[in-house]
Amino acid sequence: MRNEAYNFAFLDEGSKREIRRCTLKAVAIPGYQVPFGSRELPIGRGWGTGGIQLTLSLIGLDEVLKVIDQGSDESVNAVNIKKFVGMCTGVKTTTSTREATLIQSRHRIPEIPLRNDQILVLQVPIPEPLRIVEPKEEVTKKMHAEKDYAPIWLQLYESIVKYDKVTIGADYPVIVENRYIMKPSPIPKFDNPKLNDSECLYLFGAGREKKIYAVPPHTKVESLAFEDVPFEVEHFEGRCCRLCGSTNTYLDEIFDAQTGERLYQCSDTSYCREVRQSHGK
Amino acid sequence: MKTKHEFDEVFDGQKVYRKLLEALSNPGRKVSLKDEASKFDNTSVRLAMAMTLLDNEVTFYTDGNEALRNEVELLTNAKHAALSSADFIFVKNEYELEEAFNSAKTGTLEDPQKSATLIISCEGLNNEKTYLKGPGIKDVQEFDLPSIVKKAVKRYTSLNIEYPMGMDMFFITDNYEVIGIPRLIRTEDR
Repeated sequence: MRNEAYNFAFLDEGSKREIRRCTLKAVAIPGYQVPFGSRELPIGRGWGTGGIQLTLSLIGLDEVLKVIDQGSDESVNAVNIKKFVGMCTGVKTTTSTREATLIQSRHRIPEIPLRNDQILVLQVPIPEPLRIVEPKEEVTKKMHAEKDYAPIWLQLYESIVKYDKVTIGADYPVIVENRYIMKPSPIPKFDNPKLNDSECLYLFGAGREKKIYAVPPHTKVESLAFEDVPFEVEHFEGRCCRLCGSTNTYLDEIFDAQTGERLYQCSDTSYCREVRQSHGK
Repeated sequence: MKTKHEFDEVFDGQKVYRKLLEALSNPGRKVSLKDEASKFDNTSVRLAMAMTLLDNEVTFYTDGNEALRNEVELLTNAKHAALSSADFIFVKNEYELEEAFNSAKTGTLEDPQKSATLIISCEGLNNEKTYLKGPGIKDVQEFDLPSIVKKAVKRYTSLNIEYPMGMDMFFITDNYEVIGIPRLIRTEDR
């Protein structure tokens, strides 16, 4: 039920318009971080406020919303965001990836390939891929302008020299349309290939850092790699989900301290449930 | 009470925005704004778009079209500005489009978002087979679009504006549809 004491979708119309204008620019310049006036929300910055503001600016009465946190529909962050958006819009919410028209996610892209009529909103903690090599925003902005990405390549190279591989786990940088280096938000490397030539629109919102960026459908997104050290995703050879038996999904590792046993299960809980249902379990 | 229009800023604005977003992320696709545009006298896609995107934080330009200028100012509180500094530019023919291409702002390499968006009416123009490519389009796709779209993309390409600087375009068809052409879209002759 919608709480009529709030404006529809919480934000005032002026704020929505500004976010919408920035989002359109972000779509027109894939991978470029468009600055926006991040608004106050009843949730602290750094708790998904960029994603929430995008969701609020997009959402309409006939929307079906799904919110996931690290693949899970049931985590505290996901449930509370869903409750909040539901409270001020009254839209239908779901856990099914297929049923959703708008999906807000923290750190995962669902296992089921998304369709052209769906939008995936990703929450971004640190949008700037160059921040690790340059602390000043003024300078990183100039580096993007000049496509001066040598320091980030050097960082990858140093990692290979030291450890024989690139040691970045999640949030592995990508280059969009051969122009902008972009952080895909802390999704596992396993999800990076899903950004390339996809059917759906990806929107990224960083509330604390006040940036919006986008990857439209059918856009070229390549993970950074060297010719002789290709990009590699996480492997789960010889392992399967303990609940549904899937071998083609991203698995979470659960460690039992008492028995020393390591268990694996699908990080995408909605997908896992669907597979179990289809097996009649 | 008789109002000037029945466009709902909250709900119709949201619908228009989603359609514009769909059009811009799927260049070449025709997206109908008929329902929302019909909330204005004489069914106006331009006013529906203005109500959705414009407010006192941005500026716009209409080439001598006083009626449109007055209505947009009244409805949105956006300020009219010179062609070279306007954020949104309403264009109604090829001549005005050429002027806009030559003078409108393209942003800077550091801030490419500080560029103009062109809203172009395609009144009474015939459709033409148009091949488009670029982000948002799988490989090269064939579209049946008003003839000005192909001309505009070709002319825009010939300006050689250094990406990421550039201009983004929305075309409005006679059937109240919108076509989005962001700055990276190119045509192909076949």
